[in-house]
Amino acid sequence: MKKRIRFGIPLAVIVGAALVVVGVATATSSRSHSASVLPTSSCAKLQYGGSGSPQYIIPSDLPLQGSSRTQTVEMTKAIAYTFKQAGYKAGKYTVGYQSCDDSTAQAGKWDPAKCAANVGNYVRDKSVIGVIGTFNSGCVELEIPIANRASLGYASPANTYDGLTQVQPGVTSAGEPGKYYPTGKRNYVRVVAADINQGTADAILLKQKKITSVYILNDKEAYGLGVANDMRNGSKANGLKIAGFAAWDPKAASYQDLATKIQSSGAKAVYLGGLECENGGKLIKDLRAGLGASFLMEAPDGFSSFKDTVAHAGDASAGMIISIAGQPFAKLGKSGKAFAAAFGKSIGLKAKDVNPYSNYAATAALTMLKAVANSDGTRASVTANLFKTSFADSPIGAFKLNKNGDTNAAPISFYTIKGGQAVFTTLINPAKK
Amino acid sequence: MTSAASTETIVRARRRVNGIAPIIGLGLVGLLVVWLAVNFEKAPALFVKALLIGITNGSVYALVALGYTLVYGILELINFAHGDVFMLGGMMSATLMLSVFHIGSGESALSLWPALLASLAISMVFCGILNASIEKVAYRPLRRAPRVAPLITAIAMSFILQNVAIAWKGPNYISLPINILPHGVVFSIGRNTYTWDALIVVLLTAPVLVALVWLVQYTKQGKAMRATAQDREAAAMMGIDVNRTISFTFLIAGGLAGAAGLIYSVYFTSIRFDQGFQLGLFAFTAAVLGGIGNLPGAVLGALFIGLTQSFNNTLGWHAPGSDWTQSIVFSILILILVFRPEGILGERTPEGG
Repeated sequence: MKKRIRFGIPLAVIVGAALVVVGVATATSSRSHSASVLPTSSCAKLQYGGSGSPQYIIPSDLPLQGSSRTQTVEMTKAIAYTFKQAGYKAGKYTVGYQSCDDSTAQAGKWDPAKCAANVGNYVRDKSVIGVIGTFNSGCVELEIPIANRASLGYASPANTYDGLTQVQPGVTSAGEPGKYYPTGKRNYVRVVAADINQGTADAILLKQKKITSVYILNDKEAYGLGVANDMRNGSKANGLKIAGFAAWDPKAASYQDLATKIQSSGAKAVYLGGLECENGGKLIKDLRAGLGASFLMEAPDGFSSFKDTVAHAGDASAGMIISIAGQPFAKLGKSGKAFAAAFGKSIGLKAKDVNPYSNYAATAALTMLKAVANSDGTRASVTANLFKTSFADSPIGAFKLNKNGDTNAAPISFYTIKGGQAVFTTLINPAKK
Repeated sequence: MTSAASTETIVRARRRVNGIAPIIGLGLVGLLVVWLAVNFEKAPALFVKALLIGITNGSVYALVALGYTLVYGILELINFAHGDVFMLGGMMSATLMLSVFHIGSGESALSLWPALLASLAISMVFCGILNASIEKVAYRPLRRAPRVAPLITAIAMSFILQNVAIAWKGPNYISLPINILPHGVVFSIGRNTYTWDALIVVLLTAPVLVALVWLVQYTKQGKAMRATAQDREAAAMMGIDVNRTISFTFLIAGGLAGAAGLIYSVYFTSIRFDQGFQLGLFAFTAAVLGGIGNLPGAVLGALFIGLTQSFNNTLGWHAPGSDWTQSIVFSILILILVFRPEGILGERTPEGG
């Protein structure tokens, strides 16, 4: 019995050691030939249609759970479509795409821990050459500083908070945006216009509608508070009275009291600066019940997942105005219309029904692919090339990124909910005002 | 310093605190009364509206708070999972109303009331059995363990129930049509109207409280509950089946959570997996405020919380506003624990008498 044990332990050690050696050897050998795949705990399987394995991986980092899911899943499809159209090639390099999720079911939206874990995975995996994302400004605030130390570049299709790239008095916090770039070199660009444009355009629209005073709400998140502050500044600049500025508690049972306060303030319109997934449906229902069917409700692109907004708020969403950065389908250029038609067909949608953010997702993907194509194959080079991006025509039209990583294209489209559908009503370019 | 001297110092410090506490408490109450009076004088219509909203919301909190206080009274356990049992009751009710009875906006009374009553009964039975099962599986084996063990188990059970809800209904809000309950005007005060849907919520809480007080004070089962709460061993020696009595208490508390879940889902028309936790904390605050273990105290505390939220969110003169609602509610909890731990009406627990 004793002899068997003495023989068994060394044998187990030898077998174990052999397995470790074989495992390490296999991993090393595979890394030398192709990109390693990001963990399936956060990311979907690698999408690659070229021969062999891709040299690099470009993940997207979006919240795929919660009430923005319909919109963000369509965005991942738009990115995958763009990669496929490019033949999974960026210049001389082959690239694969992985869709990563920065949300959790428990949070029902982006989750700080998940964002931090994701960026850790991207930084560690040397085959990740750049990242497309994120959707929520709060999430990217956590990711960019970590990525910055690894020279890993981000191209966002949807972050609009001003403080990520620029200083806006009364909106951005002390130390922004420098605190997101600890190395002193920028590594983040976005193809969507910052909220300063949206806030200003939202105020201009109210002025055009002869609204004299507005009550501004926010959901206390980086994006929501930021766009609400931009709206406040824009309203002041356009001569609108601020009847009130308050937060809504996403976990509140009811907003009847808030509706009462807004009514008593004498406001002629209410602005919902925040995300629909922060109990936006219930907020709209209670405000509509308390303020009446004709009271003007305006919301920024946090409510642009139209299907979800209508599904959660029901008839109460009728007449609501929602703004989105960018052009509507009817005013898109040649590339924009062609993309919406072809991509829409690939997922069974009519071109006009493609969510505007799918065009942004495709453009962010094109931006990243172009930067990789023009690079020397290092992260630092890709990041540097992101800031040189310009398109004469793209799925969102012509634009050029500046040294801060912001776009020069800043038109804001306005949609009104009618009969459960979002109908384009007008376009405002605050830069021209 | 000797041990006797240090004890004397502590006693003196306690006396000083005990002497100052009522003065601070009275000062705070005085400030509150002045603030309310000035707001009433400045905007009486707004004040009345806030009052009505606060009473209605407080009534929903009361149903949840009663369940907390019942369980604490008998087991001295803060059942953190209670809010989540309520949430599952709400989800069950929403499912029944939408998918089984196909209830929409503006239904006729003939189709609405049978569906409501059937949903109420099913939700109460479902939550009652669930709560009693939780007691049997998770709390009973820990009855003789240190008090922190069942407390942690209760928190764990809360998260388990939240995850069950996610697996069942997903992470999004479940929305119900706005006008399920009748919205006709019951009475008007100035420009303010009070509608039937709000009155139904209040009317449901009152008989539940009366029935519970009757059950606890005047029935044999209630006597067994009170005896078990006072001294479990002595109650067992007197022939009371302690396990059965505790299970019965959890069953009743679960039933209350089921009723609250139905009312919440049809009145507030929106429910999600994580809403039970926060509302549970509000209800727990209400139970502590009223005097934990004290049934009328729980209702009083819940109305106080509902009114605090409503006045703070609605009134215009020096109201901190909705940004501060949660901070204010939980500050009240801290103030009560520091200055009057037995609550407004006093505890009814073995320690509280």
